[in-house]
Amino acid sequence: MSKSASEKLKEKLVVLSSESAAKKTFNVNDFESEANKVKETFEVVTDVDEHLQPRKTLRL
Amino acid sequence: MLMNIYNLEKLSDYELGFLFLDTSSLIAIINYFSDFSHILYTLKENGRALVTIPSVAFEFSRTNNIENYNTRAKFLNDFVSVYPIEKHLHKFTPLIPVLHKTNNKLSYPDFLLYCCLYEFRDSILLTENHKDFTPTLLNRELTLTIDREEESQIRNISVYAFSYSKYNKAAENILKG
Repeated sequence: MSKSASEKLKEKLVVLSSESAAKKTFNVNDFESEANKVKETFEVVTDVDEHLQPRKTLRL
Repeated sequence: MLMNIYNLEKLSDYELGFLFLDTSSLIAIINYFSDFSHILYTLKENGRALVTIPSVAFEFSRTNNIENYNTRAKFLNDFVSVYPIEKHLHKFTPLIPVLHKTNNKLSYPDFLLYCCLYEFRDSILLTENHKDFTPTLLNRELTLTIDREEESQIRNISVYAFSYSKYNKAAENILKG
């Protein structure tokens, strides 16, 4: 049986984890690198939600 | 571009416990990561974990394609814990009428962040949302000011902690009717 679109989509997505806070590692260089990637993703967002006003000021 | 973040170093004075992040502070951290990253690293070294809640993760990860969603979800997975506070709502029954009285237009995610501060005594919240997080039930302990020459407005991001004395006083007032 072929997979549903939902199943195919699920395979492409990063699953948010609820891992214990104490177990998380934190490397400052990795943080900067990953934060920079996230910052780039905000530059293409066009649907500004009034509820998330700070998102407006994120644009560079 | 000239930019200063005043009081940022003072953030590293906080030791042990959870530092809760709402959507506004997560975005600010991303926006000014080169300034925040070393402070956050120090906080982690001090034993203060970066934590958020599922509804904030939902807001923060809202985007227009899978690739961007994955980038933001991966960032949360790598550096921030997502604590499912909704599983413990039964503990916050008395807090609800107090918040209805003191902050009657509170959104559900912001209510849940109040629950987090109430539940974890040593926890603090970093937020730029001073409309919903007020010194009514919280103590505003520290304010970071972001002054960017190219932006017309000065931005303030504050550290809030739950005040049990303010909460008890508000609860007593409700009981009086």
